[in-house]
Amino acid sequence: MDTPSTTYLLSATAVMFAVTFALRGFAFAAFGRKDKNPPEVILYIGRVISPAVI
Amino acid sequence: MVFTRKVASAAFKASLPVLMGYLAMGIAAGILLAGKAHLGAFWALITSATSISGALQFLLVDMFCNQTALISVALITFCLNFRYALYGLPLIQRWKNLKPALKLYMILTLTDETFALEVENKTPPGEDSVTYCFLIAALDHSYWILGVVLGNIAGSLVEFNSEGIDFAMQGLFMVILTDQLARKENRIPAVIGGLCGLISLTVFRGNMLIPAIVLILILLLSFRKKLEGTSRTENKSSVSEGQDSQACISSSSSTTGRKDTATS
Repeated sequence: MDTPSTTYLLSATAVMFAVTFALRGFAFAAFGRKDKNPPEVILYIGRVISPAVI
Repeated sequence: MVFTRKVASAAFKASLPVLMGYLAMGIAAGILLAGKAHLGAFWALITSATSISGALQFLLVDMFCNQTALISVALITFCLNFRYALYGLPLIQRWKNLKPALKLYMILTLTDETFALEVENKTPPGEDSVTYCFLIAALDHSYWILGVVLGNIAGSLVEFNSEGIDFAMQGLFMVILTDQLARKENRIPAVIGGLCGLISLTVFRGNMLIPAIVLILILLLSFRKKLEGTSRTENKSSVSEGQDSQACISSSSSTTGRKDTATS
């Protein structure tokens, strides 16, 4: 097996980090603005989603 | 944030099952990274500190070995971690006033296990729940890095059979779920989640995660009226028992006297 280059390893790690971070931050970026509250339906999903996904 | 011995002790105790699970899984992932991809502790440190995702940590070994195209790496990561897009929803209101740097760190470290403990939120009465959540996040993050790096170092020295050890994680989720089921309003969503998981597993087998999440969202929205009715009844009784207003925002934050000094 060829050992992957440092450039490839760094790029792949950066891609994985960026995608994972974007997914984790999605709800905050989309609905977490300080000057306005998230829509009612989002607050509702937020209340009931944790027991369902756990 | 206000660091006290009491909150640090509570966070450490709550994170102990994660320590067991992350060390076991992290060591296995580290061994794989050393044995299969022939990458050392530096890469174990970099990948575990940035990705903080169990399944991805195992999968990246194959992606590194095959030198998978970056667009495929992005797509695989997206499909594997799609569920994280929902994890912020219960925490939006609670984290609204966090300082940007702290908020970014909390988002970065929002794994399945950290999410479960932060939503469960067992901050001792009178203590700061933001400090508690930060400590949970930081402890879980360090456990994961420690596990992967230790496994990587051990993997280059000795052969190790980690079969069955990752069952600690399932045990942790059972404990958290049992605790959540104590609240009446959590029972229907939990049943919906379980049924959707089973249906999706039967139909889609290995690719069950995204269909299950979509199905869960459809059913939760369909039962909105009924579930909101249950939630309101629960919250009314919580408020009458003197619990803080946070309980109305997050169904799981019901510890009496808990503080949220988000901007401290």
